[in-house]
Formats: sequence, structure tokens, C-alpha cells
Amino acid sequence: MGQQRNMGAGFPPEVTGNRPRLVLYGNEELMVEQHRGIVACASDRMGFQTACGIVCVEGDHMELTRYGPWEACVKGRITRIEYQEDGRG
Amino acid sequence: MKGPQQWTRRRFRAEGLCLEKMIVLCGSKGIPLTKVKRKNLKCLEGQVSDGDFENLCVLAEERGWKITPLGYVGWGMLWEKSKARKGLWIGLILMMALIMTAMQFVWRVEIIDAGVYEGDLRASLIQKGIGTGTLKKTVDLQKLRNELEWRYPKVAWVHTALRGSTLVIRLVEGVPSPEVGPYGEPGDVIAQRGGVVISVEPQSGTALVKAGDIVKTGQVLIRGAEKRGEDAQVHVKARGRVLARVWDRAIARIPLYETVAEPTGERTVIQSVETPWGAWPFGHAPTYGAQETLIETWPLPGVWWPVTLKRETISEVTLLKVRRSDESAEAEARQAAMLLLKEKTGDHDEAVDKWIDYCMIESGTVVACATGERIRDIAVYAPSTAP
Repeated sequence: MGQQRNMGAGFPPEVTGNRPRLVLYGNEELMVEQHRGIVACASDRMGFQTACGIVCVEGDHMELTRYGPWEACVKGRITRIEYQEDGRG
Repeated sequence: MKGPQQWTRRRFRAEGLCLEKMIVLCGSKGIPLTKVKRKNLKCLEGQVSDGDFENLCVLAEERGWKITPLGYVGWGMLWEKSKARKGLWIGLILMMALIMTAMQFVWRVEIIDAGVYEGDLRASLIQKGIGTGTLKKTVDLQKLRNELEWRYPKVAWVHTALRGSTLVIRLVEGVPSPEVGPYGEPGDVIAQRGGVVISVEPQSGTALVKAGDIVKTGQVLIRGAEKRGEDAQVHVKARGRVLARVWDRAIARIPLYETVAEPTGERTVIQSVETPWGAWPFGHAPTYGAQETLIETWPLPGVWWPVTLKRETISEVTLLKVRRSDESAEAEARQAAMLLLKEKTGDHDEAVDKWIDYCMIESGTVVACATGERIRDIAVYAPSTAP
């Protein structure tokens, strides 16, 4: 309902909603916006809690180049991105 | 607004369990982390701004994580490494002070477009005490400009300026206005120089010459008189254009014999350090009968600082008089004659023809005579002397 209200107001859902936004630059950099925290941080695997579940990023030599309350940036060789159910609905 | 501590970043190592929670907590507490890299299950390394490092330590202590500082990065690292080096800072301050002091002086005098006055101008500046090493604030540019304008009356104006540590003096020569005779006063048009007339275009007055005539300098070309009616004659100011072929000559004399310096092998090298305040030579000048001197200078490292190393190589020579080849003497004479002709005629008139004659006179001199033929207006106004 809330999302429908926002769309009715003319704002795009990625601005007003709480859904995550993922921007992938080639296979080297991934920007995750509107996350709810990091659940895994390793050089071959990273996980971000989002409203749609856990965004799982796999790759090699990855590092968290920036981490803030709303956005995070991962650099490295990214091979796979997938959503996993976090078990909390 | 970010303070200096926000621009300085520190590396740290965090050790403990569930380090992801630490990252989340940092995010929620407004401690931005960068370049976080997991080393192993219980260790990660990252960077945080210097201002947030204390907050990170407090947060980690509360939750049982261990934070180890690993040093500064970027400008912060440079600052941390250099702040303990007092000598470096003293040197930098001294260097800045020296630069600021040196900028108060004139280190170079640049004279532009002075032409024949350049030597006199330099001598005049030395006489006034203006030169390399003069304090800039003691140079009164306005006064200097006025003095130079009085000294060189043919110069239209003088521009004086200080550009950095260079004193720039620019002389702008005036172009004399053409002499204009009194309007309406009767007078003739005469030949400024001799030549063969090509065309006559009288605008007022009566033409006395026609195409093909040979005229001499001062000959009347257009008379300042016109007929009105059958017998009536009125005096007018003659005007018109008379094109004529004219010839210019320039003679250059080049001696066939030249003096050549033959080194004897004796040589002395004197090195010296030169500054605006004096020179310190290392060695004494030799007393040769005839000598050649080669001077080499190198600025000391520091580029703009006016201290130079100078090396003078003085070689003893014997002077010999040798005869040159005719060809080289003729070539030099031709070049000199053409140069003299160009100086005489200027570049603005188109030459119709040019040629060179040579002769060799008994005293061992080659004489080259360059002749240039041009077409130019030879008409010039002259007030009438007739009653």
C-alpha cells in the first residue's frame, strides 16, 4: 500500500521505498544501497542484509572499500550475486 | 565541515569474533570504514579517519574486539613521518625566507627594442645604481621612465615595469609625421632624387616632365601654376605623383688578408664563483703577449639563485697574417654589400633588379658594389621661390 502511495506521489520506488538497489560496474565493483547491515565479510564472499533478503556476493580478492549506514561498496573480482532467504521473512 | 583529522586516515587491524557486527555497528554509529579486507576468520584490516579512530577504539573495547593501529596513510603518513624532523622544517622555513628575501631584489634587467640606445641605457642604469641585486622598492619606475624619456628624445615613450624579479624597460620609438606644406600656399613639386620618369599624375599644377625623361635631384617636376583663360595664370600648390626608376648603391670593402690566432700550447684555466655582490677567482691571470679567452658559466643548482660558476680558459696565441681565398673574400663582400643595400633601401620598396660588381684594389681589398633598381614616387613639395 505504502509503495503504491509513493508511486502515486510521483516518486520512483527506489527513492522512497526500502528495497535495495545494486549497481554493478563490470565485474569489479558493486555498490549496494539501502542495505540493513553486513552479515558476512570475507575476501571470497560477502553478504548484505536487505529488505528482500540477503544479497550474497561471491568472488576473489574482494574488499569493502566503503561502508556506511545506507550504502556499501565492494571491490574485487565478482563472479556471482544472488539473493538468499534470510529466514526472517 | 571536515576538520584536518577527517582528511587524515589511519589503518587498523580488528581482531575478534563476528567482526561483521562491528562493521554494522560502525555504520550505525556514523563511523565510516573504508578498504576493509578480511584477513582470516578472526581478523580484518581497514581504514578509518583519524577523527573517528578513538570512537572506533571505544566501540571495540565495549564489545570485546581488539583494535591495533597500523599507522597512517596518504598525507597523514607523510605528516606523521615528517613532523618529528625538525631539521626539515627549519630548512623549509629558511628556504621560504630566502625565497621571500630574494624576491625583494631585481635579478635581471631586460631591455626591449632599445636598438642603438641599448648600450647607453645599460651604462645609464649602472650609473643610477640600478641593476642585478638592487632592492626593488628603491627603484622608482615613474622617475626612471621620466629620466629615460628626457635622455632619449627620439623615443616616443618608455615603458618600465617590474615583472617578478625582472626589471623590464621597453623603448618605443616614435614615427615622425610627414612634413606637410602649408595648404594652399603656391609651390612646386620637385624631384627628391634623380631617376628615369615612368609616369606623371599631376593633381594640381602643370607637369613639366613626361615618361622617359631623366630627371636630377631638385628638378621641378610639376610647376605650381595653372592657366586660367588665354593669358591668365594663377599660382597654385602643385600636387601629384611621379613614379620613376631609381638606383641605389652600397659599397662594401673586405680585406684580403686576415689575422689568425695560432695557439702556442700555453694555457691557463681560472675558475671563479660569481654573485651579484662580487666574484671570487681561484688563480691568477697570465701575462701572455696575445691570448684567447674561452668563458664558460654554469648556474649553481637552485636555478634562479644568481650564483654562477665561471671557468676562463686563457690560451696564448701567435697572431699571423694570412691571405684569404678570393672566392671567400668575394662572397663575404657580396653579402656585406647586399646587407648594406637592404639597410639603405629598406624592405618596403620592391626591387626591380639587383646586381653586384667586384673589383680588387692594390692594397689587398675586395670591393663589392651592390646596385638595386626600384620604382618609387620621387615627387616632393617645395615652396615656390618664384616671385
